[in-house]
Amino acid sequence: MSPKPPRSMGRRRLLRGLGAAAASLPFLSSFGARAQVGGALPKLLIFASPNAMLVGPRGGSGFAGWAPAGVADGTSAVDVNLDDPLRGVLAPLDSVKQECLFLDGIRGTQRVGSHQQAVALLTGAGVYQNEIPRAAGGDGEFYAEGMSVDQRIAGRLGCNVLGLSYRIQGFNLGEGYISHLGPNQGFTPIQNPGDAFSRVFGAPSDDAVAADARQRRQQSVLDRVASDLSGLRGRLPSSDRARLDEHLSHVRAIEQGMTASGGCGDGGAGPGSYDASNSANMPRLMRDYSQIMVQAFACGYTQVGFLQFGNLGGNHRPQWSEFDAVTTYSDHAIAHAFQGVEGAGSAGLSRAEGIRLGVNVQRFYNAMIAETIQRLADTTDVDGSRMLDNTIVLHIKQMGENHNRRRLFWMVAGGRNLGVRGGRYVRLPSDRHYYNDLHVALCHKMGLEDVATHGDASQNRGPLDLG
Amino acid sequence: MGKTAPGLLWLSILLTACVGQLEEPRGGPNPSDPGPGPFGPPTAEVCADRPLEAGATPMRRLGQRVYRHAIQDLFQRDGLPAEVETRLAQVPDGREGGFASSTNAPSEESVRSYLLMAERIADDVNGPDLVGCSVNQDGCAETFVRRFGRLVFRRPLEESLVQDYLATYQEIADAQTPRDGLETIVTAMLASPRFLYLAEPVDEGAEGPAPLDAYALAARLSVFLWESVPDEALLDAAESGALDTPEGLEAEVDRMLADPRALRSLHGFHEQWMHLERLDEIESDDPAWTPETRDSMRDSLLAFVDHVALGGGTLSDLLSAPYTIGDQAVADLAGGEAPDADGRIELDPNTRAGFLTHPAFLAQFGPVFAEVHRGLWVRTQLLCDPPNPPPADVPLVGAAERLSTQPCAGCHQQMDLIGFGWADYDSLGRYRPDEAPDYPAPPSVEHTSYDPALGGTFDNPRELADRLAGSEHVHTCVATQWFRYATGRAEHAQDGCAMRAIADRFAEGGDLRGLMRDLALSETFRVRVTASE
Repeated sequence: MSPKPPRSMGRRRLLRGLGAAAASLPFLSSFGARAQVGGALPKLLIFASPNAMLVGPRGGSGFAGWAPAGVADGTSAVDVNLDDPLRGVLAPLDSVKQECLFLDGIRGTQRVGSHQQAVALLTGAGVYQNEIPRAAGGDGEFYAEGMSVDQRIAGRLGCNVLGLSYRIQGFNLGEGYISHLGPNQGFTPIQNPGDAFSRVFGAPSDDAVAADARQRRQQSVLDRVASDLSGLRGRLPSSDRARLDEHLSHVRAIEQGMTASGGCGDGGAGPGSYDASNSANMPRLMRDYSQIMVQAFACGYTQVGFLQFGNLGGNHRPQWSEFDAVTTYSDHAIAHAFQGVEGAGSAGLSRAEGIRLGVNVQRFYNAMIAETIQRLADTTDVDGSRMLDNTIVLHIKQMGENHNRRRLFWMVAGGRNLGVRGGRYVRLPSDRHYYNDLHVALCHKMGLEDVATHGDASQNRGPLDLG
Repeated sequence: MGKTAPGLLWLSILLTACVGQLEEPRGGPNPSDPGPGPFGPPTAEVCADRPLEAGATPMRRLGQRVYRHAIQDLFQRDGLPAEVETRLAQVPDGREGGFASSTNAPSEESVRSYLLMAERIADDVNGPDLVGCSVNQDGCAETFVRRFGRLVFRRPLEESLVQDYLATYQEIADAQTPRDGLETIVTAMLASPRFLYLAEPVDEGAEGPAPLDAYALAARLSVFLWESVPDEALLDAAESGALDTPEGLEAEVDRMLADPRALRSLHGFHEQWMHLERLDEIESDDPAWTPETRDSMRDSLLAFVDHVALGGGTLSDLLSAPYTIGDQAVADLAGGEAPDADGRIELDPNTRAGFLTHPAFLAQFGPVFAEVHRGLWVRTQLLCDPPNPPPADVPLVGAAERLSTQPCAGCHQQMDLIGFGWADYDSLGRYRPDEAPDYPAPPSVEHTSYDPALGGTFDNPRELADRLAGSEHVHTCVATQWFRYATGRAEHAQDGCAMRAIADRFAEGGDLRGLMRDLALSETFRVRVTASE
């Protein structure tokens, strides 16, 4: 991570004077690109949302309802004209469609079931062997065999992944972790806006003296904890020490982040306090995250981040009146009802209501993504170009047509300066390209040109052509 | 976020057995094998005169429930601040043997959460109340560090540690205020690994199981029996050496079991064993399914458990008693008379059998494929004989096909046929024989070579309950479940003989509190084998 400039009230006033996009930033008092050492850096922002983009049963209403004219069940890559307005679940993306490259027909890995794809989406690998199902006494959670592409890229670029999510816990089947530091090492995202804010800007405070006093107390606490870890370590058997060592490494990372925090300058009052685990607050939460993420890119806090709409099984129950999606059913039940596999998990929700809710739920995800694309487009990077042009946006989903791992619908956007060409809808050849081929393409666009494969080598068929 | 695989040795033998097979799974234990074998601990004869053996015990962190109770007890507060509850929910528990137990290293986010929760809890501290003297008075801070530190760390602080905490206090008190100094050291104690981990130092050079010291034993006892940390009296018993004597240990265990805090463990075990946590995830379009009904039925089932266990009741009572405790909403669902003044609801003994027909227990299976989940529960939680999880992307097929075609039938015969026994109950546990689904086969328990008397067809849950209640195997399984809960780990082959003795005692009378007591007093509960990593 780049060294952080000191806190400065003067700069805050200066940047406020610049006024860039200030109207769309209710709580960030400063805004502007700076401190990216070495010019405008390439950036990667990944969105992950639950279930499928409602690619319905073959020939069914869901699919026909929104795909652009001319999309057939083709076997070769075809570009489709996007002149007509986007419809259905894609409608919220219409205003930014010239930035978007729709990828219809990614193939899920066959090595794990469709409800375990969360681990594979960014790793291109399978589930770590020690997964123990909940019925057999395990915690129902599972992790990957290898490192995910966001971590790989961040590691090479020398930054830390900023992962922000609605709460990921609470689902029977796991499906919480998309980012993985290595085998059996899930990367836990931040799950509330206050933490996301303070990670990038330091604690929100109008009182610099109080903030400094708190930081000093926290420093003393961390010193004591680190010392206690060392003291305890010596008294325990060797089998216990690895855990304490890992704990200590986290304490050190927190310490380093604390002394570096505030590097993005004064973030203003912060996003405010609200229940980030309440589904009704998810739109507000994702909008707050979006602001924080774009600013973290702008000030060089990181180059790689992800925004996750909670557990990819979709255990949240949408309460989003703004999107006409208010229900006591979970995203997952809605997905089942829409796909027509009512018995398996739709819990009695009718197909018609499943379709209505399902479309609105997916529109919500796409609307949040469209707003972020627009925010990136409205932000000027240090090289004078739109930040969007230096940022590859990726939207991943773990389910395909019929709630399985065939024909997944993903999207790439932005990244013009990095060689991504948007404004296209590509129907990929059937069942040809696993996630891995996109991972390798992303590595190349992000400057890791030597990367030949990612994840399971047998699932690499050559990088997808994004430009 | 790594996690370790528990040593489910005898379980893993089973897990390879059922997919795609219709034949009987592997048979009973080999008499010459000291391990539990696939279907339970070895016989008493095999275990006679064997020295104590035990499986490896990984170091545990305080789980969510224990953390919550520990804060309540240390600070004598009713609950946690809302922000702390929210944060705690995001420090996930691991699971060992089906029960919450965190033996993995925490993620960076969890470590941050520990720090921020500690800071928030310390922020509520009322200095004079907690400290008992004026904190800037001479010697007050030191007295506090010794006394409170002993409670939080569950053992007396070495002198150097006292001085370290005092130095931290003084540094902040001088630079800021004495109150800030106090909050800082309280925060540090709560974020310290000495609080967060059940640290159990043992002599590594020792062959076989090493005895715990009295403080580590006190902590194990309090986590098991109270889901919390030791109180002053328990630490005093450790310090005086009383806990090292059989009489002293019995006195403490009996005191702890008589304490209201023991209800937390009764609830903690049964909520997890009966999967009541899943009630929060159930989706149903039944108009009677409301948050209020859900809470009523959950409270009711736990109150029934309390009533049975505290009244000296048995596993048989739990499985078959024709009454429950609850409010009118529960009485309506269960078809009973109005609750009496003590909340007792008399039920029809022909249609109601203990928790097996309780609305909360039946509701947690959800409205879809309930017969599969009910059978799976019995198989896993009462027979300790779980079928393999389904292979990836199994096709959706009807009940008849599940029982007759591969790769489904091998496992589904073990589950669904049991689950068919609840045909007359709807998804909220109401008795609705007129709406009973038309299942393709009569209810029956199949593939139970380990206890042939368990097998065969049955008519209804009442009949099944009586059969289960009379089974030694079922008692052994329930004792095994309690062992997992008590120790925070799955059993290993080496635990077989220690479990045999406990299971045999339980099978004699089925006394639930007696089982908790036996576990707490057992020799295996007082030793630790460290993993050889």
